[in-house]
Amino acid sequence: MFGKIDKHDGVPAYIQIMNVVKKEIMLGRLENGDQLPPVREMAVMFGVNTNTVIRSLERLQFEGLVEAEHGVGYFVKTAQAVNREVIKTISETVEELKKSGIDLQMAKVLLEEVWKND
Amino acid sequence: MIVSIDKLRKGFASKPVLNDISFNVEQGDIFAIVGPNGAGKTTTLRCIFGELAPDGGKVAVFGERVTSRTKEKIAVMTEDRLTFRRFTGDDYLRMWRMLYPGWQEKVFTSFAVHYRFDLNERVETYSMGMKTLFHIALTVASGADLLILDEPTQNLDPVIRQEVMGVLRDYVLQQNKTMIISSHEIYDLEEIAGSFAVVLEGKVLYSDSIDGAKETHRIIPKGQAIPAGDIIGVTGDETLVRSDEEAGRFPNFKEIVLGYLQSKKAFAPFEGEFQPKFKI
Repeated sequence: MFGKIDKHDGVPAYIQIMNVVKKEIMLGRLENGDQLPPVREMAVMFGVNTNTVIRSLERLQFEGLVEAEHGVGYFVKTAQAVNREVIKTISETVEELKKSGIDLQMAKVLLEEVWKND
Repeated sequence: MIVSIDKLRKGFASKPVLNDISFNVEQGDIFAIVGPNGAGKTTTLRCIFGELAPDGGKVAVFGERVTSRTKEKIAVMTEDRLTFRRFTGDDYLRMWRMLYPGWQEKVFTSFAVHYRFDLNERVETYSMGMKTLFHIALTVASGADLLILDEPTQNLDPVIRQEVMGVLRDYVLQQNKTMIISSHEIYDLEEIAGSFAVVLEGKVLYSDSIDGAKETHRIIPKGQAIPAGDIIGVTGDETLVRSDEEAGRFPNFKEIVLGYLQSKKAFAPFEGEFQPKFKI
């Protein structure tokens, strides 16, 4: 359900896993109170060792996005409806880009350039 | 800690090979040893599984010195593969089955069927690729808690290599085992390894988890300001810097390994381990 991470990307695996979970929350596919898959299962899913998964979950907990229930697992804890706004903004932008005939690859290049120069 | 190596030294006759090797391998990890030919990778592995006695320093496996009893929990795939010239596949199979109490017949059979091993043939007559696969099958089916693999994917074509790396990773992840791999295939290692050591001229230049290394290093393109930190090395137009500052981009595993192998640290006789060469 979560999709893969790219081991060959310079971004550390645990940060990529954090981003995947955050993405799911932002898209509303994970909601407040939802339980995340067990650590072992996530390890196999992402092809990393359990320490890496635990590390990303601990960081997410530190950021206040998930909560650990001892002996049960990790649960989504967020009232981040605000972030949904971001998705809306992106959707609108994507629509504009498509109208201008810009494809995903080009959009990424542009985004990166604008981001860096901002 | 499954394997703990402290200041290991080893030489052959009058030729020193290992000069102060230290690293730790944790339970459940896939630990990669990378470095050029002759760096001391194989010698290090041989000291771990007890084939060679160290000249100095300490090697502890499962918290103790390697004895015949601990060897039950270690399965090894050597670089020169299987050596008994007259042994057929079946002879090897019977031997490994006898040696390892945790032997998993089903795992071996899956390999045998998938790669079509001819168990009546002498292993010596197998092609190099087949010999490699046969040895990997024995190692993985052993059920041992620690696997030591020296260049396990040499002689394998890209498709099979990918498949085998997946099997090795699943063995560690799903059965909660530990693995040490030496290889030149940095790309393959990045796919499955958790931690690593860069070895050169019998010394460890750098050792960390892959995530830890990516997190604490940055690649700075030519012309951009170098952030505060230690300059490790220059690869092409870019500089590998050890720094916590937000600058440049995160390096991938290959860039980290090459950065260290080409660094000034590579030959620095008066330097302690992991000490930065430059301070800015």
